Amino acid sequence: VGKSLGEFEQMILYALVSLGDGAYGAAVRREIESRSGKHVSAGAVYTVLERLERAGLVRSRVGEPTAERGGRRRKHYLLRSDGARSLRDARDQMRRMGEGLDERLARLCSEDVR
Amino acid sequence: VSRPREPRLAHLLLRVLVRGPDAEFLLGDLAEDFQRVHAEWGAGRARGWYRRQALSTAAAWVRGGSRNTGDTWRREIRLAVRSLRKSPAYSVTSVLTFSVALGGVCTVAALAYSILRPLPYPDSERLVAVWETRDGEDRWVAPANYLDWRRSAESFQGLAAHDTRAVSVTVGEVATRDRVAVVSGNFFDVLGVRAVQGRTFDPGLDTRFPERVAVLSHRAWSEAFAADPRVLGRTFLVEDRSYEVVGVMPDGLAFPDPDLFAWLRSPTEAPGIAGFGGDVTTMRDAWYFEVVGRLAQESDAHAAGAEMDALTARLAELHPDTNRGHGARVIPLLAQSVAGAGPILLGLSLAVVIMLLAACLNVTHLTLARSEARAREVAIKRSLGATRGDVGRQVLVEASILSLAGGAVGLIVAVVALTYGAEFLTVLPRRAEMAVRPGVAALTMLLALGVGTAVALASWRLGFSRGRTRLAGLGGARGARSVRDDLAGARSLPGGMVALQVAGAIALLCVTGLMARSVHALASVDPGFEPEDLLTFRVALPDAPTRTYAERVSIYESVAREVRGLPGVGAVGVGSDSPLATGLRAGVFLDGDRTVDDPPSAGWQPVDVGYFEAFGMRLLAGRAFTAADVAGAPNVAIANEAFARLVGSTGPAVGARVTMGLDGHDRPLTIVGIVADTRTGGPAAPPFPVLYRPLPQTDRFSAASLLVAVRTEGGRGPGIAALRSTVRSSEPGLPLYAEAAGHDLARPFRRSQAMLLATLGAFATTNVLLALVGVYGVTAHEMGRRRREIGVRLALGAEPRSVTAHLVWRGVRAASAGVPVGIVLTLLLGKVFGSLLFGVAPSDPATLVGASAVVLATVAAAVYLPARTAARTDPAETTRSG
Repeated sequence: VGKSLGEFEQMILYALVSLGDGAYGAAVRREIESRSGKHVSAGAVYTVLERLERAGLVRSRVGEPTAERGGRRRKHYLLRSDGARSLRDARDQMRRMGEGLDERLARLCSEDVR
Repeated sequence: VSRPREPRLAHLLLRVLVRGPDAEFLLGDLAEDFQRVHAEWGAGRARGWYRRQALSTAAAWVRGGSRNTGDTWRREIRLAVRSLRKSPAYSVTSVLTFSVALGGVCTVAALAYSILRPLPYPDSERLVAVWETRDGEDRWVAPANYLDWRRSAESFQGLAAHDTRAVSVTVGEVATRDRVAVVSGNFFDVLGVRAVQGRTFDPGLDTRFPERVAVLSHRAWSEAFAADPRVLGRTFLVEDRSYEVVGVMPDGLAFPDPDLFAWLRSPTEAPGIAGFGGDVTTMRDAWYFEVVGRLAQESDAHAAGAEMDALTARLAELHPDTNRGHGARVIPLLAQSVAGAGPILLGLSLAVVIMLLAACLNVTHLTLARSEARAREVAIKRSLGATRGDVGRQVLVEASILSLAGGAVGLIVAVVALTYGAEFLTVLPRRAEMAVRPGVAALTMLLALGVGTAVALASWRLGFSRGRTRLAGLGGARGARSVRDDLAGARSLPGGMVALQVAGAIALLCVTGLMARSVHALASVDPGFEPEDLLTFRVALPDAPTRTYAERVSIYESVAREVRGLPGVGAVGVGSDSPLATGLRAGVFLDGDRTVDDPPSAGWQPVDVGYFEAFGMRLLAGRAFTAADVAGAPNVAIANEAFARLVGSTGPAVGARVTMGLDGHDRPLTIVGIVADTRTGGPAAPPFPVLYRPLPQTDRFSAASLLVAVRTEGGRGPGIAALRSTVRSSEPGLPLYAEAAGHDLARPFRRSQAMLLATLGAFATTNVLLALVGVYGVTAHEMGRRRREIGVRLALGAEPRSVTAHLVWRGVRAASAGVPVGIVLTLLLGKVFGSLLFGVAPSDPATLVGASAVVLATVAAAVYLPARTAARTDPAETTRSG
């Protein structure tokens, strides 16, 4: 993708990396909530996953219905290599921006407290 | 162990809103997570969690704009519009019903917002009105007290005095009557208003005898001065004095009164007494102007009130003769401006809420009735794989389209109503500022959407969701089971809703009935004079102060003489005001005893010899005025009954001697006659004591303008044009204004009450019509459900007529459950409107019974038509088909 990834898109891609094969909507949502502590709505997860799939960063396959889900099927998501590269680029970009700034940032933070 | 169930409403919301290829996976995820959260945290938290998820997910889904959402919704809307166009009667009725109710809600909301929103001045919440009080009752302010307040009170940034007067204004050659406010120099600074042209006044205190300057209103500038761009420096006359224009105010400045001609700088910081040339700055016993203040930054109305209490207590000690018992009251200007609007707004709000509920019930009924007709369509859809959510969504989209269309029409209704109707609602303040503002419009559309959703949910749960039962019927297995289903359905119909609607209709009709009876009762109050064949107008002497009092009186006498000479004219009288006015108020001292501490207050009016005859006032004792009661002759007066009662405690009124404050200090008056009371306090209040005095003897009265009363002989009298030309020919340059028929004078409150009556009447009629439509919808729906049962009855030999009668009876019986609720509602509304009622109690049995009968008769009519149709159908046909 020509456009760089948004914050929420990155979070979802990280979740896919972390979950590996077992990734599907609910699992992604839980992973993001437990890692970031942020409240996430299932609807938002699905709209972003759909966008990422259209952009060719993830692919999906449909599983079997289960009773736990009221007889509905699961949709599993997997990170494509394009997606992994985009995520790595975005992460590198941020890391370069932050390089060598840790001390100064910490100082600025403590100044504010005083 | 069965699966725990998700909260129903949240689940429904998700199923209706979330659709598209990924809907299944998303809903599955939420179901799975719900089970997890339920197992982990328990039912309560899980349900809360699910509801939050449902809301945020629905929001994300609708906003998403992905292939999951946009296209399908667009298709849904197209489908709904096509379906609605196929049943125009249903669609048009629903839109009209919504538009009437939402138009009403929008109108009342716009009224309330226009009235209650902050006044249009900077930091307007710091503006207060300050009143003198005497024994706790508000009164105007005396000049010397006002000047002391200004010097001492620290709670205020400024205290400004203002006094509104009717005066003769001459611009160039044209003399008119108009209203001006005489204000202290700091008036505009206190309000925080700037001139759009020129300047306002110099706020300095104690600047005696400054130049006479005025600030024009926008209206005066654009009309009387023809929007002259070089108006600054031009002059105009107020009475006989020339004022220079130093500024022009922006359009819409309506303080202290709407539609003033100009604000005049008072020559002293406290405005003088109209027509009194002397120094007022030391007067503490004449209360005649109002005070507006701007609170200091660190103060509030409460603190300012406390300071004023201390200050007025000190003044009462210093000046016990005039100030004993006097205090002050500080009240936010907004609260003062809108006082009295509360009950009316509350009552109108209740009325429109009842109307909105009725409208919702109606459209629900209509939708249910339509769902009967669409049962087949729904059944086919379901059999082709549409889910309950799919059907529900279609119902939602259709209802929302109808309600939003209704809201849009309602907005137009509200704009038209406020544009053409607001000025007639004279009981409401801030009429010039009435408008449907964007916030209110947005709220109305939001409400429309909410109402549409509510209607969709209600009719979906009551009607469409029965599709599965219907499907069984469609398959061909019709027998005892499906008839029983239909009967069960008929019983589960919202009969209570009909009763509720009937209750609302009864309540509004009752209140309208009560208002109508009040207006009638007001109209039949004896005003104390004869309003038939009576015409009044005022004439003014713009140059009054340049003439002696005797000259002024002789001008009026010559006007009266000329008018009396016109054909068809009987008696002609001249006085300071109509017999319903109390005139100038002053303290009364009996027998010249001036030592009384706290003299009773009474009014007095100068009148000429023809006044009582022209107004048809009855002389009860003594004599009327004669041509001999002139200046220099013994000073005489005629009392009304209330005044006679005041005097009567010490002896017979005729022959008693009294003096009155201000004008009559040194002039004892002998009462020579008594006339019947007129309704000086309005139709509902006891008459105020008034003393009438011969015009030639009241030479301290300015007589700048007087009222002329003309009694015509049975409709053959002159028109106002003839009167105008007569007045002009007898004394050129006299403005003639405020023409009125006797009936207009006689009913000062009727007009406002009548306008309120018309508004309520419109609401009530609408509501009864809504009830008619609603009951018709319910009945049509019920008949649809019961067709087979009716068919069976007919097949078993029941007479169509008796079936119809049975159905009508059942309908009326169900509706009559609403009667007691309606009566309770009426009593509640009566509490709100009680202060506007006259001569009739809110619990008036005749009104309650009458309104109930009208509504029940309407219900019977609404039931009759569909019942007759149902009873006439061929039983063979109805028992065979679904």
